[in-house]
Amino acid sequence: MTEAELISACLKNEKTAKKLFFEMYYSKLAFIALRYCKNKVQSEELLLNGFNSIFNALSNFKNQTELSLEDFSKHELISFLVKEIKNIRNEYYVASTVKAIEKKERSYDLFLDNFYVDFNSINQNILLKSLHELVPSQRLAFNLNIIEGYNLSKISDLLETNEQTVKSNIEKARFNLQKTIERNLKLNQNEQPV
Amino acid sequence: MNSQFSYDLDERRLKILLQDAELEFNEEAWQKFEKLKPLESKSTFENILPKINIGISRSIIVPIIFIVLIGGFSSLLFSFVDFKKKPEVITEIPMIVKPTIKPKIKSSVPIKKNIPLVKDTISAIISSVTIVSTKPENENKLIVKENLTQIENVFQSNQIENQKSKENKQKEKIGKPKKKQKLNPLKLPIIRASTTNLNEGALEPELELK
Repeated sequence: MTEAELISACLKNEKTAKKLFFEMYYSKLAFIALRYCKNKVQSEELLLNGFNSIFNALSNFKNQTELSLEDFSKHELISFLVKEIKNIRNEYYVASTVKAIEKKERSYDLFLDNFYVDFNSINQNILLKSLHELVPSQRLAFNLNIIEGYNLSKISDLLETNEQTVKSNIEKARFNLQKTIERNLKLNQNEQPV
Repeated sequence: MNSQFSYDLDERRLKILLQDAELEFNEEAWQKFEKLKPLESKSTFENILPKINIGISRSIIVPIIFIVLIGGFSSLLFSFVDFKKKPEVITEIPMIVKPTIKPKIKSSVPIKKNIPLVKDTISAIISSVTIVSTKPENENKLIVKENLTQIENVFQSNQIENQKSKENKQKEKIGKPKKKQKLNPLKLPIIRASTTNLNEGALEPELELK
């Protein structure tokens, strides 16, 4: 089945065509959703709704020839995820303040900060875990700018904020991500058997 | 952020790790998707209307709200105050006198008008008596008795005259009812009594000085 036939079949609401489309792009789109969401449960829920929005938007794919079907579906899913995560307002706007108030236990170990972190040894799991710990606004900005490679104006359009806010969110995300990666790496090393 | 912070993350490596990563497909996800209801398409009315996104910052909205509030409040206050002086309108209230109808009492017997004469005479006599009252008790009694006899005489003569005048009036009313007779006031005899201090020579109780 060619790409055009698949699209036309999906538009006709054929079950087999839809399942084929789902199987083709699930693995890639699922990981994208996992990057943008705070945990696996949220990512699964939003991914299924995202597929629905992709099927609804397939009629627009015929009109444009710039993007491939994979890129089109990725772009469609990302815009859907951004919109949905931004609409969870109690998380999007409150999470940062809650995190700031959170008390952390002080450690008086002078050699604790001298722990050498080899950032080249970061694996995917630690990176994903650290990303999930970020505030939603920072996570979105980091994903869109650094992973997807969107420019500031496009991100500001997607997030409906000004470019300065996006820029500051990216900077904060960089700082916080490094700190969380450091912490998670330390925890990972301590957990490992000697 | 800390000024001593050095960013050590290799973003290119992060991008390679995250961008092309994949998750394994499982059948459960498709079953879940099948159970999921398709998204309800938005109503056609909403699609027809163009989306208008006006970027108004907080710095614009807040002063506008304050200006509107202050303006509204001041206009509310000005609505209670009248700056234009209204010309005073003088309205004359017409005096309406309500006619009071007094019932006319028709009496067959004419009203007596000679009684005041007697009273005048009595009051004149009493005034004369008061003058006399400054005398000692015994003398006063004598004078009072004399005066009383005079008063009685005068009173009797007045009564006789009144009766005569009544009779005359009745006669005149029968003949000439409209004419009024002028009554001559009676001249009473003036009682002259000495006005000397009668208490002279009388013993007065002396106050004992302590």
